[in-house]
Amino acid sequence: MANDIYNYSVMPNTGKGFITHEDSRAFWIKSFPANVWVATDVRESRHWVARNNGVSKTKDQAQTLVTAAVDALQDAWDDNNVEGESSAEKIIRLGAKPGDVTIP
Amino acid sequence: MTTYKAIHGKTLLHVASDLDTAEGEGQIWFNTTSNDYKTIVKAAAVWASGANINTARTQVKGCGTNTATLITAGQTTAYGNAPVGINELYDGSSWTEVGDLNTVRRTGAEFGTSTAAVYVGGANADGGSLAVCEKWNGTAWTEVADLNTATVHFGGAGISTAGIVSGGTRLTETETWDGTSWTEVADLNTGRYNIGVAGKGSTTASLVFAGETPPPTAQALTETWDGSSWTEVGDLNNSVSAGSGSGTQTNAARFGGAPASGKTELWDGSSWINSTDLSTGRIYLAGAGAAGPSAIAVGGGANPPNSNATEEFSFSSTLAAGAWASGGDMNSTRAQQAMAGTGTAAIIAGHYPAGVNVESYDGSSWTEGANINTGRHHNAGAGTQTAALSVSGSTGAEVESWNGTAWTEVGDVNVARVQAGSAGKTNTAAIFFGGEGSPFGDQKVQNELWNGTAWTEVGNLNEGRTQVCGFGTSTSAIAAGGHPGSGETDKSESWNGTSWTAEATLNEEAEGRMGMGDTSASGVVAGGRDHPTYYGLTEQWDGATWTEVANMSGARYNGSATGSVGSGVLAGGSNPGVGGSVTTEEWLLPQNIKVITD
Repeated sequence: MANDIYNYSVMPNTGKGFITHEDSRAFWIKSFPANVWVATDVRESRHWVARNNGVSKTKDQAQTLVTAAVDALQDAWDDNNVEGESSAEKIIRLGAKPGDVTIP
Repeated sequence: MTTYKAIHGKTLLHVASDLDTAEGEGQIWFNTTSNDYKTIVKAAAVWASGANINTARTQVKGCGTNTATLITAGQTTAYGNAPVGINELYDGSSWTEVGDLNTVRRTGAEFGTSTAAVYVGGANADGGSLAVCEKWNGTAWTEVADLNTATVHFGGAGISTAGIVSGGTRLTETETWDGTSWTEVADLNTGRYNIGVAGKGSTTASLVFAGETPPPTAQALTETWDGSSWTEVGDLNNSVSAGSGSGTQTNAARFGGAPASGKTELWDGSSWINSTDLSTGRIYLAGAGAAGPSAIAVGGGANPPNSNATEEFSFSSTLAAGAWASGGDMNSTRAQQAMAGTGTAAIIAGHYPAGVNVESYDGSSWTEGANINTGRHHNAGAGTQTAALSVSGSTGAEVESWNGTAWTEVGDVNVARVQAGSAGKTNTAAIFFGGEGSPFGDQKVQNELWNGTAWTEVGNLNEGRTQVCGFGTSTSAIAAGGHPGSGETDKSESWNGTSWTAEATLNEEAEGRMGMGDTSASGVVAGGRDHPTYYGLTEQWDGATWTEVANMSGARYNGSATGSVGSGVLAGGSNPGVGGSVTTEEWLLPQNIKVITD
């Protein structure tokens, strides 16, 4: 499903051929947690979703999936601690804490 | 133009029609028809999906090219210290797991090729920094001399016998590798970890960029190494860390990085420009590639915490796809007649059975012109619409030459043949190869060269075959497909003026294909038959591989074609149960050609 600008879908990245150079030239595309994909809503991107057996979502449905996945990652980051480690050292060890993600 | 030749090794070409991509890339030419100076402008490079790796992971490192890539080690859990020593090889199509590192770890530095690499440093399962160094020989890892200072979150460049590593948790330190031992050399100007490196750099010309300075602050800094010291050069457009890179000191790309970004920038030796983003933003990913715009991004983490995604960055497929369009029907039914010229100015001579009719095409319709002297079919052609040859065919060894007004008999070929291949862009220089003699079933290897006066036998095809398709010139041609006597063949060969060399196989075995192309560097073949199946498929040749592209509107074989990879025309041919047709299709592959106006 789509709003005026983007369409939203859920599908796994199956590897070679999932996104082709021609796809990349034809429309903007970006992945989000929980296998959510957002693409500019043009004929070619709708064909791309169909070609990859994607399941179309509304923007709200897609955002809910993304938020749930990011919450789980943030919890995992919070729970991963080493005694005596400073916050700076933790960031060096794990990378920065995953931030909230808002899809366009 | 002396300077132009000194730079490009070529003089500025004056040509009647535009060069195709293979000929024109990086060149400027003068089009004598439009009176314009022209060049080819590349479209921007973009990312496309590659095969997923077998073990999703983050904090992974890589080296090699985007079609021969090695990725090593990393971490498979979301957080915490659970490094692995898993090693995978990419051949451009799929990843294969190969021998593991002896010491499991993550975020070390890796450089070299897919068959000869070095992996050094990194963090072990306790989170401690390592100095351990291992060397890859294409099959297994062997431990070699340690780094002088253990480190993690750094980067490396070079080959397995001459490398350089810098940055990381030891910040400014740099060491060089001579294949046997590590030596400390001059420090980076700004110490930082999670840096990016152009992995194809060397011990005398390296490039590092981005990274984090403590307390964690992402940087846009870029430094170059000249063999003795580091110099700060142009900053990135985006401050970033934990990304990756590809290329050399003068042609590099930077991609990915915190916070789970897909941002990509290209470096030309003096400045960075923003390019198209990865579709999956990520950190701690592996990067490799011979140049900036021929990169590969693999694995990494953030969201999801361990990615198995591969993306390939390149200018390939930058041209709009070629396509077929209907042209005007011929006045007579034909199947494999002599054809010459371009996509918009062609001539076809003879028709089945043994006809004398000749027609010319102007890009929209066919007009009958002066007949050939001896009716024939299955003859071969070369030249232009106003200076063409009709070679041998069903009535013997006779050859006729067209001067734009009339056909004149000229020197016979030495070996009369039907359904042979030919190549030549004038009526004074052509080759005539393969085909079938009398009695039928005698597939020929012979190749004859026309010098405007006489035919001379020159280097034979490697594989004798009839219904062989040809395109190019008398000194640069392709022979593709055909019937070698039993079944159909997918073999192609290139001619360099002296001998034939086996090239990549076509995607389909077929006889009676129709070809168009200016040289052995690029062309298109279409249609054909793998008895009893008729094809409408088209394959495009780029000088190295055949790629299936847009199909014709219908299946047919043994028609005729002429033109180039950018513009051609295909006429006639047989369908199942129908011994010829009047159908014409036009091939057009748009070029990113720019007229130079100032």
